[in-house]
Amino acid sequence: MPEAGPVYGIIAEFDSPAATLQAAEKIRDAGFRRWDVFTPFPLHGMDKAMGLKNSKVGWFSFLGGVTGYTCGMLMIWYMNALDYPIVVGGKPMFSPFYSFPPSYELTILLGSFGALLGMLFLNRLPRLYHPLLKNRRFASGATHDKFFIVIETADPKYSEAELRRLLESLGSNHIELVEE
Amino acid sequence: MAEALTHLQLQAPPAELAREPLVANQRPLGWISDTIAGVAEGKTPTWWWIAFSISFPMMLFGFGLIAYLISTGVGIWGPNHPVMWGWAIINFVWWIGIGHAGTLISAILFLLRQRWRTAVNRAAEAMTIFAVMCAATYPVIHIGRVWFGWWMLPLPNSNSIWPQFRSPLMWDVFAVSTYFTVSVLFWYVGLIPDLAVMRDRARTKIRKFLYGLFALGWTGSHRHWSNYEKAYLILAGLSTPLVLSVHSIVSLDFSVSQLPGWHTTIFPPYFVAGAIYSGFGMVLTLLVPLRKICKLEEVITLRHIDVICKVTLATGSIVAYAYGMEYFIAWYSGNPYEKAAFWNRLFGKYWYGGWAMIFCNALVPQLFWFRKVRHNLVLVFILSILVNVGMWFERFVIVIGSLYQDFIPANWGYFRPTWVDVCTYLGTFGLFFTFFLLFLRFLPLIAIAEVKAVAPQADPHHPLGGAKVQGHHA
Amino acid sequence: MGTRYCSNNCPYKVRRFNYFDYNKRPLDQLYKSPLYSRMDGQWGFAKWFQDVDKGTIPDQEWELMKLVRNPQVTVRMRGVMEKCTFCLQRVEQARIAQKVKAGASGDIEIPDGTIRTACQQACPAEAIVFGNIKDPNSRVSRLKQQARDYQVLDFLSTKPRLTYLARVRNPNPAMPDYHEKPLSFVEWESQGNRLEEPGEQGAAHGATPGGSTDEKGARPWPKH
Repeated sequence: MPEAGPVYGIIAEFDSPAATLQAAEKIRDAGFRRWDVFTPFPLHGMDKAMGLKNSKVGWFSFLGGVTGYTCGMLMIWYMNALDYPIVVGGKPMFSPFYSFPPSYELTILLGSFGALLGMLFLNRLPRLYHPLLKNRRFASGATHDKFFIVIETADPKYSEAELRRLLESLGSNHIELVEE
Repeated sequence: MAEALTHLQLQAPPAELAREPLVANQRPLGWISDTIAGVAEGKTPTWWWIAFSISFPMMLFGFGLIAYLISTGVGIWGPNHPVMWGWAIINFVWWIGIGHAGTLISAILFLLRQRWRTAVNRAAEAMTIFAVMCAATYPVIHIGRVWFGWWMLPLPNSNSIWPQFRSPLMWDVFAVSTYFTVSVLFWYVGLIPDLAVMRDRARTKIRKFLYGLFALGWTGSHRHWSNYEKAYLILAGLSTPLVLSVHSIVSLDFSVSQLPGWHTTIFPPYFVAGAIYSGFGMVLTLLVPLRKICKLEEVITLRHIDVICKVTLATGSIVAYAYGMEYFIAWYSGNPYEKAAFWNRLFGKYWYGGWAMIFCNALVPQLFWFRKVRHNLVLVFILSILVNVGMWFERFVIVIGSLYQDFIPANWGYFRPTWVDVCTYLGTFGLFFTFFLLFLRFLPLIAIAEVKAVAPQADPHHPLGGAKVQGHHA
Repeated sequence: MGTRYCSNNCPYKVRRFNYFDYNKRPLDQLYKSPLYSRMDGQWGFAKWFQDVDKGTIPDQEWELMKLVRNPQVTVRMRGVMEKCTFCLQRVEQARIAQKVKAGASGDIEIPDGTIRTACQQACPAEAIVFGNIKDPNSRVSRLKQQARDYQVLDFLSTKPRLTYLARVRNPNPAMPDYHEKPLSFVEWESQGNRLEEPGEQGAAHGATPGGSTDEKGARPWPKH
């Protein structure tokens, strides 16, 4: 297919999860860096096949949770013990027991925001423009029932002819170039 | 060592023990997208218009009654001295309870690796969000001065006074708003890949734009999936204690007082079990007709219905045990007020509530022991409605049954609901079903990506997923 | 903001809620929404807009309503909880007067008997005594030291300020007011073990005689 402009990368379509998994392992072993696998659902074992490290979303969530808890406790202490203490049935002005439920809820709230926003941040989403979304083959298959491997031209080891041969040998049934 | 294990030949289980597949008839992955997304695409079906034309006016009427309430006063409802809380709080607890099943299915069953949850979790989460919306209207409108409701938030006000956090009602504010927000977040995170599916299938420009906008540019990249899976796991891990804590906090509204019938420590686990019970009942009420109408019987299979019935049975049994313990402790404690409160539940002025509660919550779910009952869909539908009726009466008995006869006989008084009470309640049904119908119309009601992930075609080690016969990989 | 939780938790149920605009509307128009059309042709809503304070009361009734209100015992706005305030305004008035009188001497003890709550002032039988319970010499403290003094629902540890003096009875069965059971039970049975439905007028509804002690004790309520 004649390309009109700069090329984003080469895309190979696969039909089954097993083939995709094995292909990913080979690409990983070949030492490519700027590549990715696109699937309609997360494939079991793909993290290892791609050589990905553990996701960092947990740290964002942890940070959110700790913030939530301390903010909750501090806020309640400030409001009920320092700024405007009210005598209520002889109960203590501040107690870790009664202040626990709201602080706990704030922990969960901010932890959840941390998880979501951390995930979006690490994924660089929202990213409404992506060269792959313009590719017709990709758009009709990636979220449907096909699996794709894409190696970007920005990768130092990129070589179109070699990659075509490699991907065909791995079992891809359709290879094409993606334009920017 | 690892090599020796992977060369093991595992025999397939005998036919009687084999589990029913989660997607019937070995449908391919593409069929899953087509069937589920197809419900939200195309022309709006007639049944949808009929249902919407009933629920939407109901919702508007409910709003009108709320306007009447705020302009004239809480007295137009039933509560009076001494029963200061009436249908409003019963309905609040009822709706929140229903909401808990969605989060349980999404979060707790995810952590327990119950793969069957994928066919029901999206609709259940949507049910949660809309149920919590309905629930949250009540604490706002039932207060005497609704325009000062914002005083419950920790914002500075002109009286220089802060909310008093020793009160469980304040904990409620935080709990319910956190629950709503986290449910929406969790629901949205789950929706992102499915919105990408809808975006890629969209025919009209508006649909493509809107789905694309909310799908945030999701491409299905595995690097993204890796972070996504982690975020989903964390959200599930956070939502699990959230579910357990929110209804516990709602129950503490009652436990923290010293009213006989309210002042008991059994409430938190009892309420949570009851909430899950009623929520699963509502899931059945919604999904049993939906799978027929939207032709999704092969995705929401009989196995799913079967398992949901079993969970309903389990939680119903916990509730039954809780009733038994309440009565036993009331008798064993020797406290005459406690004994009187519980005797009144069954033989007092509201005896019908107490018996309805015991029948619907302790006896009806026991029918689910029988496979014939679990697989008879009409019966399942009827029983699921009875589940929710029973849970409504349970809250009725708890709220009104304890308030109308407390310590001093001169304060005893009868409670009668007014037409405004009943119609506001119907209005919340209108709200719930309006939003649920809109959800059905525009969003995929089953988690497409998740169902695909549990289908055998998705397993790289399964023959249908492309593995070779002696299939294993390094 | 009117959740009525305090009233639910009150074991004595002394807290009453203002369910309607009792202070702004005549009693037969409480249920009407602001959209009703009044006798003088105006809409209730329009009338309310003209003067929020007057609410929807007809003009000639407004002057009358103002006379009815006792500034010492007000009916507050809709949506708030009402309860006996122990005439805090009279306590404060006495405190201020005492401070003014004391001037620089710092003698701010209010003499016993200066403050009379509204109910104490109104009671023809002088059954209510109010005073400083921290002062062991005040009349109210001395009365509380009697053996007949009891708290209602004391097992709940509510420690109420308000206590009652039990009636002194002659237990001789020949006495005319002899009875077997506690009186509250007699009343309950005389009503036919029946709860009052909402809307019925009850002479016996409400168990809160205001004040700190009741010298004569509980009287049998009139039968009806």
